[in-house]
Amino acid sequence: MTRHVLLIEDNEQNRYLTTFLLEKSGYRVTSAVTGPDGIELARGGAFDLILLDIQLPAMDGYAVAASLKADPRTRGVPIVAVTSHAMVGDREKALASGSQGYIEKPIDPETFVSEIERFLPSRGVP
Amino acid sequence: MSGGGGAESGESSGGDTLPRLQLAALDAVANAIVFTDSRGVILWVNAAWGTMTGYSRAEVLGQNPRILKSGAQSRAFYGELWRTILSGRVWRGELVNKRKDGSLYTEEETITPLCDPDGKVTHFIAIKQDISDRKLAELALRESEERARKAASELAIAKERAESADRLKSAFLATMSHELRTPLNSIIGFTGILLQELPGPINAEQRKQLEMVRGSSRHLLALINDVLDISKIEAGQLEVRREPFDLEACIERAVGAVRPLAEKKGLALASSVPAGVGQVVGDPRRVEQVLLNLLTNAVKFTDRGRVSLEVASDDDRVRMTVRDTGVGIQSADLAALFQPFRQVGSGLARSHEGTGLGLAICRRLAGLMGGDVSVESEWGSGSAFTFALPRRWGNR
Ligand SMILES: Nc1ncnc2c1ncn2[C@@H]1O[C@H](COP(=O)(O)OP(=O)(O)O)[C@@H](O)[C@H]1O
Ligand SMILES: [Mg+2]
Repeated sequence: MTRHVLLIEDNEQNRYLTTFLLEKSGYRVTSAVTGPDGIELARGGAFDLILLDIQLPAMDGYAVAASLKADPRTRGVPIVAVTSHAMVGDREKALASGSQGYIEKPIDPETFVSEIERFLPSRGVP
Repeated sequence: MSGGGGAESGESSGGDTLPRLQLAALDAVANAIVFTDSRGVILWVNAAWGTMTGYSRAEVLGQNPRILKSGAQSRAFYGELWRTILSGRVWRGELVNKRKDGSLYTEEETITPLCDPDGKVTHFIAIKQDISDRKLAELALRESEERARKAASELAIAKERAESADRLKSAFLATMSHELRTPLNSIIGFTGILLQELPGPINAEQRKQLEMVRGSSRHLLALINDVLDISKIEAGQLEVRREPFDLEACIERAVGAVRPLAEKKGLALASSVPAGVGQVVGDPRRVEQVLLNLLTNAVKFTDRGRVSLEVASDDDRVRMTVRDTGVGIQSADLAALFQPFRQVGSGLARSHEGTGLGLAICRRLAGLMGGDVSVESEWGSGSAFTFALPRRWGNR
């Protein structure tokens, strides 16, 4: 069964890049440009993983993660935060707001997919 | 006044003893007392009054208290005073008066009118006290309170300014960091994708040029990281973690990272870590960053020979020395080495890639963890940079 990833990222080039890498590895990707749109999509669909950019305009990634974790419909989906801040404390903040994983930009296209794979729930269990 | 009547009713014998005693008592009290008739002509003053004004009793009997007028009070002030007491009411207030010698003083005064049975004012009793000292003290107190208030508010303003400047710096750095990395993310990412031939095969020349793009963008990323690091440090915005970590693993990672570079230049690379170096408290990422910087420099500035990392450790400190057999540094240049943007002896024509920020960052990072970076070098034969780190930094 194809894994379905929800990508929430406001930068067009970065969205294309991540989508391209994931689709090349056989994932299905649905993307959202803003936090509220992402939350909306997450509530309506069955996703295996949410890739969440932290620096989003208006509603930032920490708020998006918190709201996803507060909702029983989306609570179970693992979140991997992607941040270009790389300030001390970003990682802690991301993990505290409900993300399971944390990846810093710039991403390494050679290892990116295997990095996020670690956060996918194991296969085989229906 | 009713007070006098009460005293008289307690009298049992000796008809004129009591008035004498009363007058003697009035003469002995510390407050200045003056009796006048209804026009203000002085009938009697006590000793304290004389002390306060500088006049003798004999000098002022029959005089009017206006001899004390200093001119500090207005006509209206005296008009109000007289209206009050002539209507039979008590007046209380403060006056600035003049002594016989011309000096001024402030008195606190109560004037009580005495009335006959028809309610007509017949006499005044004025009781006063020199409060000049208290006034001065009050003034001094007010002034110092005022100064303290001003200082406190200036301090608050300065603090507020500093804090908002800090917030601004911090927000600026965060934004810059994000804005610079976002486009770089797609440059590095897409270059990598093309080189992996994920979209389709590329030819040798395309590969060569894409590798140049990748090299340049990685270099750009390193520069951005360095500039952001030094700005964060200078702005006091860089926090270092304080956690126990395995130093040996950290050293291995740093040495491993420069190994390809050393091999490419044909340099021997060795590290010796004594058994039982164990755990150190600090920020492992930052320790690795310092080591990596020192090792990269050593490889960069050495064309022949070897680069080594030696670790010496005692109960309090770990000393990590990166030694090379490279060009060395002239003693005149040693001082400027740790200043930002300094590349030794290169002027504008730089023979080596770099920002001149590496060592400045290293020394500051080491300092943030309670340690230091020092250098020894001999021009032409090599350098040794030592990173000293306390084992239990901060000891908390
Ligand atoms: N191991 C070394 N041997 C000789 N010179 C060195 C060594 N390390 C540093 N230097 C000198 O110190 C300068 C500053 O180093 P650094 O702050 O790391 O900046 P960068 O490496 O970007 O030039 C270098 O440009 C070089 O001239
Ligand atoms: Mg350097």
